[in-house]
Amino acid sequence: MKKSTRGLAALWILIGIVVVAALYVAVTYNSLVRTNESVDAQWAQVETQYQRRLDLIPNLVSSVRGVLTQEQEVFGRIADARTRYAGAQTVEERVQAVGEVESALARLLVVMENYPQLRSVEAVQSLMAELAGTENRISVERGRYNEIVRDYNVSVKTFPGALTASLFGFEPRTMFESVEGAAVPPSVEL
Amino acid sequence: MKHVLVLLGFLLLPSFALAYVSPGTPGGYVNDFAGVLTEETRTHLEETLLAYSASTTNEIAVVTVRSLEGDYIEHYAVELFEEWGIGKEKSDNGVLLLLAIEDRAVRIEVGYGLEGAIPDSVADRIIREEMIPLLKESAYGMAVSNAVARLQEAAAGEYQAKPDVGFSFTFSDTFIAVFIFVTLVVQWIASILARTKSWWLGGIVGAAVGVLVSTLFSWWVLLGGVVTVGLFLFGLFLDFVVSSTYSHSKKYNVSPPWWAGGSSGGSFGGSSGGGFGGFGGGSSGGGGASGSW
Repeated sequence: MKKSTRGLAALWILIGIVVVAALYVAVTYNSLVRTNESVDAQWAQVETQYQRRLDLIPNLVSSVRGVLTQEQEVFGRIADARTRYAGAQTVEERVQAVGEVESALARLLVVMENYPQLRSVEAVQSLMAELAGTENRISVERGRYNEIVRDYNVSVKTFPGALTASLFGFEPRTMFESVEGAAVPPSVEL
Repeated sequence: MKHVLVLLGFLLLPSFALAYVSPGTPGGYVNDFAGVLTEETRTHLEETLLAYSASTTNEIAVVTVRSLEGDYIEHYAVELFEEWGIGKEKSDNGVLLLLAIEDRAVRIEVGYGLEGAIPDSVADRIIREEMIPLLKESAYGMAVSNAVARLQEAAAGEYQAKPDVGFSFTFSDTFIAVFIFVTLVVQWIASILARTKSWWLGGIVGAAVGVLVSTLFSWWVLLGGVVTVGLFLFGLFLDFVVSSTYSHSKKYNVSPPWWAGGSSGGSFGGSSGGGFGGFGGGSSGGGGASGSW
């Protein structure tokens, strides 16, 4: 009699542990899926701002082209980089193209420094403000992307979440700094 | 071109871990931490912004600080915006006008929902035309008042205040409902646990409830784990207490105490209709413009 009660208790404890373990895996799985999705969503935010920058560039170029007649080379570089971004298929290609856009744009801005008469053109002023705003948005959204990826990577790599992650094949995601290795900042002297 | 330097700064230093030091909690729409506004200006601005928020739901926050503590103003503004949650949560219709006196820097940070109404070029023009000349003469009050007037004008018509429906489901209502529900459930479980002979069932029930609750509310694993362990221990303890109390009361034929003594009321908070009731939880993504004088 006593023995069977003990056996029953052990069975209940075992069932309890199995149920808790199963629920735990379900919870971690759900949270990994959710974080993974928010990483994608945040990446989309970054790309939106990239696109916004690319849309602004032609306007800027056309408003300064008349003055910067001797700087055709920099306009060519910008056009090439934009074309490459538009044709990029994978995220890596796009990040690489963005790096080229960035360095060409930085070159243009440095060139513009040499033409103080541009300062008084209202259209140029507005475009510069929009561009500065876009660069700031990019850096904000990139920063948030990195924060989300960091959280996600921590839950993928640390115990016991790592067990669930490997069970369902969740891989760590790449943070911005390392992807951005392609985007070498332009070496310009101010 | 000042912008070029700012821009190059962004290009060369994409994301840096910067030291943001919070200036404190908001005391209203106008937060003069640097103490550069007169009492009169402050009161007038506060009233204007309160009325503006009541009619348009747009939230414009004015903040002055002495120093950015080494941070740069764009980063500081985003962090402060995020911390305070300026603008309504759904529409993100907040604007932050930030002045750092010692850094001689000013920024208009625009929430996501107002980026269409106040594009960066408009924010930039407000700073250049309304603020910089006055800031150079240390006429902070005038600079801020003018800028606020222009911002209000630009953002007007984007959102409308809905007529007051008279009933709103606030946090304190939810809290009280949850409190009463939990109290009832705990009492109910306690009475069952008391009757069972086991001392461990409570722990299992607690852990199960913890996991269930964290699944339902989609918490992070860590939080869910902590809650589960907490509820497990609580369940064990509860079961131990009620089981011993039950056998005790059975023995002496008195009624167990947990049906008596109902729930005590929580405290009522709620925001009053009149004054500043905190910002609405809006967010921004780095839109706006900056300047220096």
